[in-house]
This record gives sequence, structure tokens and C-alpha cells, in this order.
Amino acid sequence: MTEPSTDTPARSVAPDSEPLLECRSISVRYRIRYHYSDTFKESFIHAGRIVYEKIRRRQRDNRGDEMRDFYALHGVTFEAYAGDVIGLVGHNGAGKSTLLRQIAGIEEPDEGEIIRRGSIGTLLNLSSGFKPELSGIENIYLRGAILGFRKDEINKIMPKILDFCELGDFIYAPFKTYSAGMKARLGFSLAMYINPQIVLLDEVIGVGDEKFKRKAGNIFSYLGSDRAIMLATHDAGTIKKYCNKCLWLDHGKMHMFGDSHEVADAYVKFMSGDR
Amino acid sequence: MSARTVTVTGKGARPSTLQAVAGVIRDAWQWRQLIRAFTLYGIKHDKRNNILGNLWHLFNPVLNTLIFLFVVVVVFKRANKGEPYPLFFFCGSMFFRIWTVAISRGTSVLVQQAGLIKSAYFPRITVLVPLSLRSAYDFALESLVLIVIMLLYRTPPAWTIVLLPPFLLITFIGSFGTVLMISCLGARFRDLSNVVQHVNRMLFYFTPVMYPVTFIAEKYRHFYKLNPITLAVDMPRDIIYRGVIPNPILLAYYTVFCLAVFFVGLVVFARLQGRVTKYL
Repeated sequence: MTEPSTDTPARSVAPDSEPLLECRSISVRYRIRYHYSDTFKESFIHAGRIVYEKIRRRQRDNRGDEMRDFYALHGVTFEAYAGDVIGLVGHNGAGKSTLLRQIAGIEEPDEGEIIRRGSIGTLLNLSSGFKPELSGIENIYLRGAILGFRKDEINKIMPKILDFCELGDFIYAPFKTYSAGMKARLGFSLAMYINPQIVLLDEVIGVGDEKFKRKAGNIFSYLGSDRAIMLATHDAGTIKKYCNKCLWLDHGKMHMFGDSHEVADAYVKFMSGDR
Repeated sequence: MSARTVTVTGKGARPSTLQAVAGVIRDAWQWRQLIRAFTLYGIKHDKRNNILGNLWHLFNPVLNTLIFLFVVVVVFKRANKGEPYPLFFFCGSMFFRIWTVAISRGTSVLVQQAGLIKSAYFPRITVLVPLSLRSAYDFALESLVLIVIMLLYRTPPAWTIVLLPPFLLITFIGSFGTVLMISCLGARFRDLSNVVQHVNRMLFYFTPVMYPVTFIAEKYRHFYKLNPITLAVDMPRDIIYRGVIPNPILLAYYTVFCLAVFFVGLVVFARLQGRVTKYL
């Protein structure tokens, strides 16, 4: 594998090909934002209050707010082509993870449409998605099965995964004994080598050490040409280094979408500026 | 996995109930590999964390039987006429457990697997089926103990045991229906797991696990037998060693109950599964 120059991210995009991923004005609404009843008791009290207010024909006071729609995402529209590495930035709670969950199909958007042309690989969280009691190897098989692969398909890519994550004999130890960096390496190599067309990564590059980051960057360039990668992060450096495009979310809305350097610079300026 | 195009549209177009149910069944079939993996790793996981591993599945019911042998036969001196108490208790509790395990594990399974469910998309049905497969596996292990007990008491199986396979099948269909029905509700209402504890304990005393049906006064016995779990506990004894052909009406009633639970469960699950992730 040749070392690609790290600060020229853009691989050329075939403009005539179909996008691997299309999001058309997707919105996610949380209705019960201010009132979240998790138990029978709360549900009964809540239902009782609604009935009471109906009977008394009382206008809802400020508590009526509890039924107000809260948009975690509002009208997000973008496309991702093969070869794209799209950075996803935004303040805490801007909707980055929510967006990735919708694309992954874990949740369904309330409005809009998501079209995926290809399989999905995700690493949305370092430890969820892995069974702490099982060994690294067993977790690879389980994770593969979760993503829809047969055992013999996993066996084929197993050497590459083991080679990349560099866990050595720890691969036979239970997942719960791994350090955060080891978890990240295992999860990341799985997400990449399991060969999905669309890869979703949430805040996982930052956990690894420098060597891991460099390898991750290499693998983006090496494997990336026929797949679309989305990468949520807070770090503008990561965006500039690895991504060719960047999507900036602000309170669930698209603030900016375009060339990674442009958006990352604007984002840094915004975040360090008068807030 | 083939590179197929998936379009996810907002909630505007809801599929009909029939489509949703068909979707659940299709999911279960297409993702059978994952169901297999979850089942095997579940069993393996259990084995690893304690020294005796799978043997616990045998020790628990055996110890339970010994405790009730002591309480009922030694303390209360209420031995059943004509049948050894350990055989009576163990046989009933095996079938009782199929239901209570479905109820209690079904309530908590989605919450327990929340990490996995929120990490990638896969059909939720794949975490429910292994529950029942596990239950069947445990049942198979316990059957070995039952065989030993029957040998110890020199009780040969009756010819009616030929009815056992169909009886087991409908029992597992019914208990899986319970899992389907209760799993999403358990994720939505977390205190259901507390309620379920008491339901299970009540069922234990309201059904003839530790005492024979004849302890119930004759005039109430008809009502008593309306509880399907009563039938689930006592009929196997008739079938396996008493050699009594079960009342066909009650058998039909039990079958209809199990199938009804299964179909209602399917519908409930197909309707609720899309919404459940938000509550995990």
C-alpha cells in the first residue's frame, strides 16, 4: 500500500454514477421530549392529567409544552457517492448520531426518505454492539452475523481484520478486558473490512493513538474508492485530513454542506467565535 | 450480503397488519444465521461464567424438587397417593418453567440487548427466537433428569407419551407467542419486569405444580382447569407416566389458547417493533 499524501483528501468522484446514499429532507421528531414516562405510574399520572384537562376544558398551561415537537433533525438533504468521505460536524446534540442512526436503519425517520444502495457497516459506539463476555474472535463472528454475513464470508476477511487491529493474542481474551483503544481498533477494522458500501463511524477515530489514526487514514484512501464513508467528529483536523466533503449540522438543521476544508474552517471559526 | 437498494420512507405509509406480520416472518427466515449465532453464543456465554456451567440448569430444578419434597412430604405429610412426589413435582415444574421463563425473560430481553440493537440494523425478531430455542435446549437437558428420576422410581413411560411431541410443539408455540407479545411492552414499560415476578409466583401457587389437582374442591375444579397453565402443568403428567388420555375438549382448549397467543403476539410485535428503539 502506498502512503497517500495526507492533506489532499479529495478522491475524484464519478459524477455520472448513482449516489450510494441519498437523504431527502429527513426529519426526526421527538414528541414526548419534556415528558418521558418510563413506568406505569408516570403513564397513569400523565393520562390522568390529560383526561382531567379535557374534562375541565382547561387550556394547557406551560405544561402543554411537554407535547411540543422537538426536531432532532429537520429537513436534512444530501447525497453521498462512492469515494466520498463525508465529515459530520456540529455542536453537542446537533443531531450527528441521530442522523447516523437513521441512515443505519436503526431508527426510522418521521419524515423524508433515505435511499441506500448497498450494505451498511457501522461503528456508532465503541462498546455497544459487542458482547463483553465473548472473546474478540467470537465478537467478530457475532458482529458479522449482525451485519448479515455468513461465517465463511467472515472467515475470508478474518486475516485482514486481525492484521489491521493488531490485537495479537488478546483477540482470544474477553472483549470486556480491552482498553478503549483496542476496542476502537477492533470495531474500526471490522467496520471497514466487512466490506460494506456505506460505512458510518461515530467519534471513533479520536480514541486511537497516532499510529492507529495514520492507519485509519491510509485505509480510507485504500478502500474508499468504491464506498461512501461518513465520519462524525468534533475535530476539524480529522475532517481536513480524511474527508473530501463535510456536513455541518446545527440544531438538527443543515448549516453547511460542501468542501471539507471550507466547512471545517467555517466551523472552527464559528465555534471559537462569539457564542 | 448483496448490494441491494433499501428505501426507508417516513412514517406516512404504514404497512397493513398482514404485511407487517409477513415482514416479521420473512425477517426471521432471512436472518436465521444471526438467530443461530445468538443462540449458540447465549448458551456458550452461560457456560463460561460459572464453574459448573450448564450443570446449573440441572441443579436448579433438582434442588427445587428436593426443597418441595421436604416441605410437602416431610413437613406437611401430604404425599400424593400412588405417585412419587419428586417425579410429580419435577415433571410439572419442567413444563411450568417453559411458560414462566418466556414471561420473565421475554419482558427483559430487548432492554438487555439494547446495546446491540442500537449498534446496527438487524431485525429485532432475531433476539427473540433464541430465547425460545434456549428454553428448548434447557428443556432437553431437564428431560435427561426426568428420565433418571423415572428410572429411580421404576416408573415406565405410558403409551400416551406419543402425544408428547405435539403437546410440546404447541406449548413452545404458545410460549414464543408470549415472548413476542410481552417483549416490546417490557421495553416500553420498565416496571413490567416487577409485575411479572409476582405474576410468575402467583402462577406457581395457582397451578398444580407442587400439589395435585385433587386438592382443589370438586366444585371449583372446572374453573381451576380453565387456566391454560394448569393444563400445561398437569397434562404432561397424564401423558408421560400416568397413561391417562387427556380430556379432548381441554386439549383442544389448550391448543387454541396457544395458537391464539402466538398469533396475537405476532401482530402485537409486528406493530410495535418499529417504535421500540426510541425507548431503549
